[in-house]
Amino acid sequence: MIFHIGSLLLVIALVVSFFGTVVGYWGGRTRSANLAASSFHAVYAVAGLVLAAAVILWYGLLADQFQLAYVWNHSERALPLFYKFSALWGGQAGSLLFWTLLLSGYSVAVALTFRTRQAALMPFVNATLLITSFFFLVLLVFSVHPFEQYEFRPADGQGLNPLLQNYWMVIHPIMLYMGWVGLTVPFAFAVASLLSKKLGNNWVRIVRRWTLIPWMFLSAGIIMGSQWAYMELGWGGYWAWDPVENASFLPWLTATAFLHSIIIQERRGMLKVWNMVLVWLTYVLVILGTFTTRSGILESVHSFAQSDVGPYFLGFLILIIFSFIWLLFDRMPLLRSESAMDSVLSREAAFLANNWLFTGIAFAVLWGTFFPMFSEIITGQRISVAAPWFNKVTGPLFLLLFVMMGIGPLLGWRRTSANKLREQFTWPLLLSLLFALVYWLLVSKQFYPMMGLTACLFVTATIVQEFLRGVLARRAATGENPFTATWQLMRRNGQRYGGYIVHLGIVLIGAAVIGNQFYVQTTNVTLAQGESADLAGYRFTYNGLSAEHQDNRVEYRAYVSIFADDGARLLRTVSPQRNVYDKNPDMPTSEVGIYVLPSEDLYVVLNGWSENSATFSIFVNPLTLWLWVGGVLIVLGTLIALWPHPRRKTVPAPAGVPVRA
Amino acid sequence: MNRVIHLLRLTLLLFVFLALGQPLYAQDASTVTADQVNEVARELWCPLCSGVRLDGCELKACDQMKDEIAIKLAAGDDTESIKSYFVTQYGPQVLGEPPRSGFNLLAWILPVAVLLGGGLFVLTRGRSMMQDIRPAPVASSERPVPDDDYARRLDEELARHD
Amino acid sequence: MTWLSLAIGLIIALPVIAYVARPLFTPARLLYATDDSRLGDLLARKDTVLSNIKEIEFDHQTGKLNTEDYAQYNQRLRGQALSLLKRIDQIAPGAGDLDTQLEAAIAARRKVAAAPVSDAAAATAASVTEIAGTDDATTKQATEAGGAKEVVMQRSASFCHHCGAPVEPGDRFCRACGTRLREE
Repeated sequence: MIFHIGSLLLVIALVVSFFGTVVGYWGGRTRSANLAASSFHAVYAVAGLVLAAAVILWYGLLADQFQLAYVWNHSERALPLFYKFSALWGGQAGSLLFWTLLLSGYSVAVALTFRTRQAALMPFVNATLLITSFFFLVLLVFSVHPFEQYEFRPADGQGLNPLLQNYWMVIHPIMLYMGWVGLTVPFAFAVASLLSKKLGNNWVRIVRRWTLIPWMFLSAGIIMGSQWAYMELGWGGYWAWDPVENASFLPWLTATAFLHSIIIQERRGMLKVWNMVLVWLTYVLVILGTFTTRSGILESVHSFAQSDVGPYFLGFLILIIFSFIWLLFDRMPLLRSESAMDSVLSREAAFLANNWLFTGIAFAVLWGTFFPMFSEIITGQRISVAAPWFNKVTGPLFLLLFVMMGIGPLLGWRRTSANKLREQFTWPLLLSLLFALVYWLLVSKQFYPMMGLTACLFVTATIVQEFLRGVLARRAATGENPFTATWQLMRRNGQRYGGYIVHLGIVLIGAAVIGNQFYVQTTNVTLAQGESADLAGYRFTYNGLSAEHQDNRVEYRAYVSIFADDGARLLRTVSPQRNVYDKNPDMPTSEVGIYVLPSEDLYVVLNGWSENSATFSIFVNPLTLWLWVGGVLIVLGTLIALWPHPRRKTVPAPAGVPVRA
Repeated sequence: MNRVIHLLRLTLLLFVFLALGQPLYAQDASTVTADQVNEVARELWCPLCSGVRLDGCELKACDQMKDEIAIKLAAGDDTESIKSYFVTQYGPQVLGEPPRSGFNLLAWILPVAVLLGGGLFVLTRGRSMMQDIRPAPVASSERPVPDDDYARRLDEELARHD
Repeated sequence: MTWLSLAIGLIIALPVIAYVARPLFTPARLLYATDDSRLGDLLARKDTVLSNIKEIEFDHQTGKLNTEDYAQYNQRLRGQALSLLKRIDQIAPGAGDLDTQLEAAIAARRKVAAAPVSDAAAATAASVTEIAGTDDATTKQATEAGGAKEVVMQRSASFCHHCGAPVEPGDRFCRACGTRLREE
């Protein structure tokens, strides 16, 4: 019975979210405080109802209520408790419910934050967030049915997809969803400011912050997804340009473009229409991404769940695309630029170039993701667009983007004169040229890795120079010691210096990608017990195999000792592992054995075994550690940029404030 | 424990076939090492799963493809001819990128065209934005002399504005 | 689906509906008194110009902007800031210092916490929560302050494309910098 109540809760939430949407838009239009207050209540009520529904589904999962179709399909008795909990987002219906839950969470956070502020915007914001909730509730009530029940209660469930039984796969979707769902908030503010015609600098500041938060989660989610692919899929890579990965990457690209161009609007009052377009594009790409992953329209190894949600998504996409374009055109006269560009050699121009590249890359990725579908429709032949295409098309663009990332920060606002240009660029350029020369002479003569690593060094040099000059300037002005000066710099100008830290993270990721793209060494070997294989100066010796039964799986673990210096020095014994799940024996998962060095990862995959020998794929992946370090730096830098500015020095309170109210 | 042994046996069979077992007809290809096969497989893509490279794929169909590569390598074929063999066998899917002909050429052209078009647009827009600007700010004599009071207040506010 | 679960569903639905609909049955109020966001805009704009001045100062210190350019831009921005300060004073005398007042008011509120308050500062604080002073609430207050001085305002949403100073409808040249304005 409790599950009947679960579906009833969703129906009530559906009605309330629809009511809240109407009341919000209407209240914003008529400036009625009553209607606005009702829209706030609707936000809280929907959140409460969806949370209650999610709790009921969690109860079903944790208490092994296999009469629920969802629980039967995605859980089993022997599943560890942790994964029973995470099975909520392991399947179609549950993950849509989870999406809705997170969206309600964000909506409540926004509503509480702006409970007494932005009175003109908030009814519209509530309404836009609620209409998104409404859409997902329509899916939950009419299409995917998380609380569908059988007439009887099966003894045990089917088990969770083995690939999802991994720590990273528990955290990664949360992060990704937090990012995706959160990007609804800037869109809601954009719609609200257009509808209320309050298009001043006000919404820009709010939106920057509320984009940075989901952007941080999205970045972390993408990195964690790569980590999962790297550790679990066992093919030596971390990114496959898979449609689902692309779906998470696309909004990241446009959101990143937006985070840059919004700065120009904040500072100079330019690019107002373009920024609106970027916010909207990001939102559309989020919905499109959910659509492609949930509808299975594009075949993909990740599309675990497929069902008939397609037409709903298509309808909603058409609605948000056309209604927003209409709204934007209607408000166009209010979005005129307030100032003009002074020079091509200015940070404004650099930001423009950055936006051009980001949207160009986003278009290419979108095009490549959907091209197989177009091609199949037109030519009837199925082709694949995979890593070779993506690398060839986006590779040069990323290289250019990295160069811009070095140039941009060195340009001042408005105009940079020739002598200042020279002053700024001499050192980084000299250093980069020197590096390129040495690299060309001593390491390799391949063009792309050389250019790529040179660009990475160039950006790093400019960032270091920026910090140095900033600290020196601050010292000159305040006489603080270098540490305090650095600290104060980041604290008082977090937007800029936090941004540089993020850039540094991106550079590290870039270097790791280049290393993995061009300098991987690999071998496939079958080793008898005690036998060794040599690769890249390391010796890998197979010591034996063990099998151990865990809750719902058997873990086969091979022991491989890694030696350096031609077998003279033991570095570590790693244990690549295969898990064979009781419920899915034909889907063994892999846990790779890794020894991480700053210069390279030694990565061993167990492919198969017989009585006294085993087959391994061994990879030496250069610089991979820095991919994860870069991810950490991105989160850190974003936090610095997000951290509230220290309060301005307060003036002693006057006896009475002469405001007549 | 019994169960474990049973499972162990079961998966042994599975994996022996998957990874070690050279199919019977591949006897003559046994001189070809797995590394040589993967050298070729790295340039091919699994025709069944999208976005998975052949050397990293564990499907049986892909293992058979790898065996075929081994046979062809033993017969003295080079990488290009093996690739074109698989294209005729499975279609252009195995290449991992659209062929550069017919409709599929669009996959290559459009991103470049959009990028160039976008660049041109940004450039012309940027130029028109720059033309708007007046040559020089109004000379200071024309400007009304700012009252000291306001200037002082501005300095105060600036000092507070950190 | 049993009658019992339907009944329970109804029992849950009723208070929810009551909660959401309740504000509709209270006396009608307006969200904000006037639709004039001009002062808020001016204050936000002033804040931006101040940040910009700080920013070019920093760019100059870190060697991105040469001294001539810096002097020129600094002069231009200060001109903007001054004209904004004057406009703000025209609309709502004392509102230019609103930042300061707000901070004081908020400080006062922090001290008294939840205790009932009577003085003017606390009264301000009770209705103002934004610190940056660019908020609707601020606007409302400052507008009221201005309204008390019987300053009649016409709505103007446009600003000089060159220096950013506000422009009255019908102006052909900017009052702050003299630039010929674009046809609207």
